[in-house]
Amino acid sequence: MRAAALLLACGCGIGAMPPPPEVEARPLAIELAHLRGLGMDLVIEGRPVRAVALYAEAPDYRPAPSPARDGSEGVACLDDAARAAVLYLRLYEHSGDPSALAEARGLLAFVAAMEQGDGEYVNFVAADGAPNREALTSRKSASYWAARALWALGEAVRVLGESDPSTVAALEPMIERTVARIGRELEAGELVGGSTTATAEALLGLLALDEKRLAARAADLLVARADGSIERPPWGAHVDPASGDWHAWGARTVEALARAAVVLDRPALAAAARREADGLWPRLLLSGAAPASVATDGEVTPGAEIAYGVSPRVGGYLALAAATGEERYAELAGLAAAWLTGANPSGEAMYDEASGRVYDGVGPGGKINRNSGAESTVEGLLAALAVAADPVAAGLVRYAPRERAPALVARPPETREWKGPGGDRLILRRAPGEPGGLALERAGAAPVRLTYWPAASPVEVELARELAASWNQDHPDIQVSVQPIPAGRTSEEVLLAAIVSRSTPDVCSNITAPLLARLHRARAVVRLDTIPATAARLRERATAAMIEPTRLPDGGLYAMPWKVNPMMILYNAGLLEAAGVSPPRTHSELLAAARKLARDTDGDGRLDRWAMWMPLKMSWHERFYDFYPLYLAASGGRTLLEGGEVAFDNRHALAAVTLLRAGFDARVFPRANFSDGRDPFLDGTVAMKMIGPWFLRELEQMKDDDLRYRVTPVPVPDGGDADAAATFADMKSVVVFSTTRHPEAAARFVAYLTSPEADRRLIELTAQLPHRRGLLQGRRFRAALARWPTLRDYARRVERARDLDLHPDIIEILDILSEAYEASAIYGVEPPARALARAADEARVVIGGR
Amino acid sequence: MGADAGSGERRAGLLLASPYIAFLLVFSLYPIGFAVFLVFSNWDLLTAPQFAGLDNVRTLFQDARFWRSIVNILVFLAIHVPLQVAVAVALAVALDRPLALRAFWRAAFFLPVVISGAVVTILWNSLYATDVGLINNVLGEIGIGPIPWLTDPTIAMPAIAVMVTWKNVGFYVIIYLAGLQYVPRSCYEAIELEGATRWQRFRHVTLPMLRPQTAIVVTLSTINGFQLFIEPYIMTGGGPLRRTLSPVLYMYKNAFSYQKMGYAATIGLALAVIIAAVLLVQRLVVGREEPM
Repeated sequence: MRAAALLLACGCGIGAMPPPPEVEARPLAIELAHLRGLGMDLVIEGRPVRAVALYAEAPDYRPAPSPARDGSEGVACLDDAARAAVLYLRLYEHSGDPSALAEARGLLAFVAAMEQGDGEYVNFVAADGAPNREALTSRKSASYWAARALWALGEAVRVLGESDPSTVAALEPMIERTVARIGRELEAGELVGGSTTATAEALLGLLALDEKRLAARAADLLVARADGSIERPPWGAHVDPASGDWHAWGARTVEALARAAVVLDRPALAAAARREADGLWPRLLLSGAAPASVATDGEVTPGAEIAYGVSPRVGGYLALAAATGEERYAELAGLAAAWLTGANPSGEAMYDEASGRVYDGVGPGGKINRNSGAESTVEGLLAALAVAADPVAAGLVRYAPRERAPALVARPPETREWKGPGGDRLILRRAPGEPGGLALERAGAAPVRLTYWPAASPVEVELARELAASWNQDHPDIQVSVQPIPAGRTSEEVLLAAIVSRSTPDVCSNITAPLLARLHRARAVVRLDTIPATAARLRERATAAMIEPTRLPDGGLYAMPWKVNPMMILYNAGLLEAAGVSPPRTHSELLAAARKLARDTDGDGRLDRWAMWMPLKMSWHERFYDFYPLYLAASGGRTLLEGGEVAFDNRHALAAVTLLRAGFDARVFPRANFSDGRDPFLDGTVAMKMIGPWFLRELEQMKDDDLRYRVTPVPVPDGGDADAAATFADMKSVVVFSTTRHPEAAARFVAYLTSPEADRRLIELTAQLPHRRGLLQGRRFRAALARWPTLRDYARRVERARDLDLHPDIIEILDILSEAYEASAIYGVEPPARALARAADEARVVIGGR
Repeated sequence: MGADAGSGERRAGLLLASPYIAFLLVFSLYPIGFAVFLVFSNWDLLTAPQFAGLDNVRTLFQDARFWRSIVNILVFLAIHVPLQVAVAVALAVALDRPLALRAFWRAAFFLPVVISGAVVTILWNSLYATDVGLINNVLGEIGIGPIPWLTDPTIAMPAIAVMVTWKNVGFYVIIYLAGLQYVPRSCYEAIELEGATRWQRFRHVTLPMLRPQTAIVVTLSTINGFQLFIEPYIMTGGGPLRRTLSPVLYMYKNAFSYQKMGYAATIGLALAVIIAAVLLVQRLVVGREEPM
């Protein structure tokens, strides 16, 4: 009767969840089809390389060489190839896409082939692979194209340094010669090629190469090129010495200085970058113009607006946002990039998201030149990619000014109204002294209130409250209140009850894979990869390979993977040293170590110290600490199901169960539970345990001073490589529930919860790891990771971590497996192969019964 | 007039009974009807139920885990019910005699009944701990053990039965104490005149006179025993080797871990049928005495 009453209570929830409110904005697509179509294979001095054709004319967009009117310079050039290499490298960095890597390698080979043995470069190449050493725009020099080559080579080292050392090694001689050659100019106090813009690109390369001394030299030279003030032309712009004008085309000084401020730890360089970004650039946004150049007297050169003149501003704004932490710059990056989607004199998109074409230009009257050459395409895609990976900028990239008519840069209006795809109104107001020289006001929008449920553990509540407070301070229009997930045995049960009673929060950050599969089936969660802010965060945070397992059957991403805690073997270094064993890396080594570590320390004839503790409890999640990590390590990351079908009755599972059975049979794993609340690792009763990094916090608080510990990867079957093995990580994700009335605002908050700054606090406070690529690269998380011993070792496993399958029956299947494991490994009443086969049959019945 | 008065009385009666009728409809009849409906449905709590015909019933008959849980609960009852009766009778007889601090002892034995089942279970979990549990420590002093109380497949269910007996015994002691008040003194006097020993007094007077109470205790402890849930849920999760998996725990797992509400309802109704059958058999075996 009690059960029936319970069912009655649940009966109130019969029926599907309501569909979430529509989100008008959609993410900017990054389409490479056109750029790939411009790609060509060449052979230069016997070396096969990739290049990009210079031009492609409408309407058929066939790749075309330099025309006779330009002196038939060649079919491709270093200027374009180097930037295309940067683009493909960044795409690879974001996605892990092997085709992007292949293109980048080919283009880097082209860059290397154009180097003339002394760090100088030739720009153009003919169809037969012959470099054009004659044309003024191509001749051998350490000028524009050399600087751009250095930028590409630097990006190659930054992006591929760890993952593709052979490619980088092949480029090393060219890099050394180029750095030396350009370094000579800089040491002499000369701008590269006498150009501010070329020097800025060289500086980007030097920063990527971590050439700090020369980078500092280049930065100092660029700082000196700023002219004017907020009120006086050219309004803080960094001008070229030859003409004295600011050139929009390739104006990457702001980006280079902002990046230098971070790498060189010189905030003054960010202040120098702001002179231009806060002085001249707000005038461009207010006037609605993207001129090619601005003279020192403020006169603007009339002409077509091109992507090459817009993309550097987008990069500059985003670099300033990163350097200063001012979100305003990211917002302005989105508005600057909106030129691609229609915020230009034509009011039409200059970037065709279907084909990937970026048109060559738009005249002051709004006439579009629909040719689409390499430079426009590469520059446009560089801007699009940067914006698409920034949640704040991505949310504004489809805004456009209400009035298209441009005003004078010298006398821009005080305000300019923009409107978003959903009709949202945004007022840009001139505000000297504010970041970006502009204030942004959202007109007519009522403040939004969101509820956020974090996990109820004290440390996660503390983190949530801290992040929400910070968010609320910066976003008066979206206020978030934090309420820990209400008490219950598991979050899953509480959340399911909340769904049934329609009392779900807007955002929740404790979603496991099994729960997500159920939430999706119930249409209880909002798809996140179609909302700009969360789509951008997904792109910024994880590679496609990392994200792929979190896709649901319809291909959508309904959760933002938040934290991931890979399992490793935590071992007591003192006990292992005393027993004379090394950290085990294979199954045989683990058993051998276990035999040496198991001891009767008090001489009563019974073992009282063991090698490792495997929990004897049978709940499905207990297998996260024994069988499942061993299975994943053995199977190369293959999970329990494939295509929704049972796949665990294989030799990898057999190897894992056989290992565990051998340990129990030999009595080197204790066949008894320890009392609740006691951790036998802390008191030295067991020498090893399989655990994730969250335990480090407790360990540091509870351990004796003389307990020395380290971690080692989960052992693999003999002959395998433990370092390359996968492991289990109980991933927790953030979702937006479909009951929310503000999906876009909630998505923005989710993007904030998973931002680099929030991730840093997650690491520092909880000793847990964000689901983020490149955790160990650069300096962004270096200090935070150093806060907890061994956390860097755990961080190395993040990209090799696997979760459970996203299947609604996975808990029952794990329960079945757990029983098979118990019967076979712990109690030895059934041979491993038979137990696994039986479990697989039972699991098939479960799946078939749905 | 008479008819009017009768109808008014009926209306007043219905009015007075209506709160209970409403309660019955909402909290008993509707849930039972809903549970029957679910037997023929697949429902995951989150989406609308789907008609499943007799699939759940068919699955039940083929489900080894369900039948294992029935065997387990019968093993549990076979240990728990006799133990419960024996301990409750013994304690009641002891507490019925003149005893120093009798009220204290009665309260002490009743206390576990009012303590939360979860708290008692967590407490006994510590007592049963293999490594530092009190029971193994005491046994260790006399050279026994350590005994893996909750991880040995043959011991785990008896260990749970002992714990459940300890928790509930106070309630049944009260029932037996009440029964002892109604045993006529003359019966004891008569048997004493025959020269009966204390055991014979107990065997031939007390025990037979407590037969109605025993019927109640057996019935109630059987019904309660069939509902065994919190103890294996917290202590063993149904292991080792499914030996402590009770039908209610299995029903709970299906309902709230696997979201199979239809199948859980099927288990619930099957359990109700089995309980009714067992009680029927018990009634035949233990006796037909009417309860007090």
